[in-house]
Amino acid sequence: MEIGAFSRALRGEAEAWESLVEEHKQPVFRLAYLLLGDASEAEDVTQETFLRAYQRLNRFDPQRSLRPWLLGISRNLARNRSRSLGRYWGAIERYARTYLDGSKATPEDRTQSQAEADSLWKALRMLNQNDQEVIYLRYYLDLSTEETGESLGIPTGTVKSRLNRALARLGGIIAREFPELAEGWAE
Amino acid sequence: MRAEEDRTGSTQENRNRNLEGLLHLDAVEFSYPPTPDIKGPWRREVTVKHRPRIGWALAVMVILIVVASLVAPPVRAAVLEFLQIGGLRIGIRIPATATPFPSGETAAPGARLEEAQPYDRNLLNLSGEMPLEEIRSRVDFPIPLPAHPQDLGIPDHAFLQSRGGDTIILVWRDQESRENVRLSLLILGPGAFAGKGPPERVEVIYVSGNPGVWMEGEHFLILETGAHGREEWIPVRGNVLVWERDGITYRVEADLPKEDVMKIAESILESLP
Repeated sequence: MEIGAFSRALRGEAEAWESLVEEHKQPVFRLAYLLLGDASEAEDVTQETFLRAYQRLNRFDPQRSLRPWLLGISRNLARNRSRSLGRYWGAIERYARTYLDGSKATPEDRTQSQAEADSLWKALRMLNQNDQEVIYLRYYLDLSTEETGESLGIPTGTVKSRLNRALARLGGIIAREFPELAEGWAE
Repeated sequence: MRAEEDRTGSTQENRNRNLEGLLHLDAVEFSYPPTPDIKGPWRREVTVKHRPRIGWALAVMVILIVVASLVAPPVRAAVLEFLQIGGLRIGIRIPATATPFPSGETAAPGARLEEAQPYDRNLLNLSGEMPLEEIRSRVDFPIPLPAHPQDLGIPDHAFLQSRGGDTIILVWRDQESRENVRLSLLILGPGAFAGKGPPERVEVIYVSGNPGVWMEGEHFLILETGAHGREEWIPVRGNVLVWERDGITYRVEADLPKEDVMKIAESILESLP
């Protein structure tokens, strides 16, 4: 797949690049959404990811897998977005839309599984950005350890140790703030 | 010792395995928004769309009248618009029945905040309370205290939350009416954010040369409350001044006029190293 389409995209064939965009846009968008928590910002990041990737095609080694490279671009763009004051005010937009739409569910509306999912989501958001990134790439986007390392620009061994530390910190947050999630865990 | 270390290590391994199971399950069931169409605009290689921006030089004074009504049908029919100034995005509501800005007060009716507030939540019930010195030891940026008003003293409460980054909330009680909050200072460290809005009135201003926003009128601030850090919409009744400097966002809330809150903000900036 990729090498043929990539070579044609490098020669300027729009359809070839579009086929690669179509193949990889979902994980790129999903990573941005996980990191930013906002669909419209994630869309912006996704659009910019593929624009930048297209502009840098001639710097990419086609022997490598395209997805980790794209996810690395998406991750860096999401990081830049999350640092700005605009991020603070982006939250206004998101919460205001939720509030004005009247779609904010009360606790009584939620099932137990929804409540647990919400708690896990809150616990994840309490992690620092490095911890969130390695967890999202490894578990939510289902990348291998090697692919995760490629996306983050770190060795595979570092991925494993970073993952262990992230899980330990997540476990601490859950034990402290959301103990109901840890009920029945084997010790 | 080694046996204990082995037990601790295997406990951590078990916990990590439990967590991995939880994460795998959540990943399968996680509800994502629909993936947007990226292909269409790509052919024309258009630049990434940016929301309309107004430079600070052009937006020295922008006054927006926002309705904070929560229940009345005419307000629910209002249109939600957003104005972006540099990196700042302000949500505004233009109600169908209200007098349009910038001439004056909004004319839209609305329910009182108390009617729309189903939970008991306020700045005295936040999660993460701890001594201020402990917070100072945990974060890697300074926590300045206002030197104005002169009788303010140290905060009665200090909270540390993690919302993408370190979030600090300092609260001073009213000395004569201890159940009320006299002043609160919210500091968002790198990467942190908190949601709020929409206020009744929004004004772009500068705080010692740093870009900021002045807000008046009842609105909501979203923070975590209670023992389990439940995210809640906390009613805001005072006036609010928000500004950013060196990647840190500061928010002061007090039932004081703008000039007094500006002095508080300036005293905060002056105390920074």
